[in-house]
Amino acid sequence: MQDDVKINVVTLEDGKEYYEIKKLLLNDNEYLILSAVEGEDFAVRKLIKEEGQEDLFISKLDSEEEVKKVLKTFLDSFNI
Amino acid sequence: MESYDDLKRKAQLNEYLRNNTISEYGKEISKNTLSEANNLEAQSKIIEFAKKNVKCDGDQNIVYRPQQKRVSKIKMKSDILILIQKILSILAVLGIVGGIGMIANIGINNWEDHIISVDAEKKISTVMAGRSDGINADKGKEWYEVRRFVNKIIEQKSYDNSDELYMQLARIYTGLESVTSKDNPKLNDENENGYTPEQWIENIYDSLREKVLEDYGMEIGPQELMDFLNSIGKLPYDRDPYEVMLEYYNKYKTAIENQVRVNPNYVVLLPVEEVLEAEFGVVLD
Repeated sequence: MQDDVKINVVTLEDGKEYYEIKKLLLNDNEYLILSAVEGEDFAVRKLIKEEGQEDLFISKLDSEEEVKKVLKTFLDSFNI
Repeated sequence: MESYDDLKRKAQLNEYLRNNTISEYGKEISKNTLSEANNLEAQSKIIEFAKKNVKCDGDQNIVYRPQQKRVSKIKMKSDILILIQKILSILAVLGIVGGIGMIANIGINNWEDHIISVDAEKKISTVMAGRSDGINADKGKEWYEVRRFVNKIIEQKSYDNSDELYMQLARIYTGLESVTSKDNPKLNDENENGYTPEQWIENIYDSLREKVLEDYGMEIGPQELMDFLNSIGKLPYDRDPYEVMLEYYNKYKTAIENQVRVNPNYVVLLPVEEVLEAEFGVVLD
């Protein structure tokens, strides 16, 4: 018997599809931890709301430090 | 032998390193970080990492339009474990954690100090508080959470050699890869029993779940299954999955009952109350 889960998939600027592994709320920002559907790549992105726009947008992060913090928080959530 | 493209890439990389900054990506990476990552592959990972995740001039935001897909739970669990390994290796290169340099190959430095910072008493108190407050209403989940804490504590007590711990993680990682890798030609091949490896795992999962339910009245989840499969090591797909399950189940059950810790990272079949009492003298009310 196949035990399935539903998961969101988004396409990033490199044209590849990524699973949304986790949405993280950190310092009032919402981040996505993404894992490539094909291969073993991963990415971290911020969800932003731009003024005057109805859509949400996926943005790269502003600094390496911000990426580190998000990844560290993600790992902490696994208690490892 | 390295290809022309590899050599060209290394030459370009060396040029970046001589400048000590990666201005192309709009972000500076410190000289210290680069010198610590004294390995070309590690440095290459830093560049790729910055390029992929940090915004630079000209990057456009893209509209968020997720699509839902169905994925097997087992595959997703193993993908997440691989993702964690990848993130750990990147953070190790960047100097955040002390060095699961599985891919970057930059050595092991105080891995436990960075990753395993579990205060046994505090964790147990927290779980006990959750238990008495009824926060963890799901008995199976609570049991699993505590088991995970206990595992980490046991690791802390048992491993004073980070290389050993690293090797264990590497074995787990390799084991998962051999099960899930799409490049593994065995994945879709039937073995002598007529199972593909995927079917074999599903079969062992179902029989293990039934056995644990029967003996302990608890549901076993995908993570426990992964732990169980890791304890077996190289999976004997050519054997009957039920027989293999029983063999390893009884092996660990007997070992635990004799208070012999065959695999310190594996206490899945022991009720948590016994683990806490045996290991720490803590009795849950």
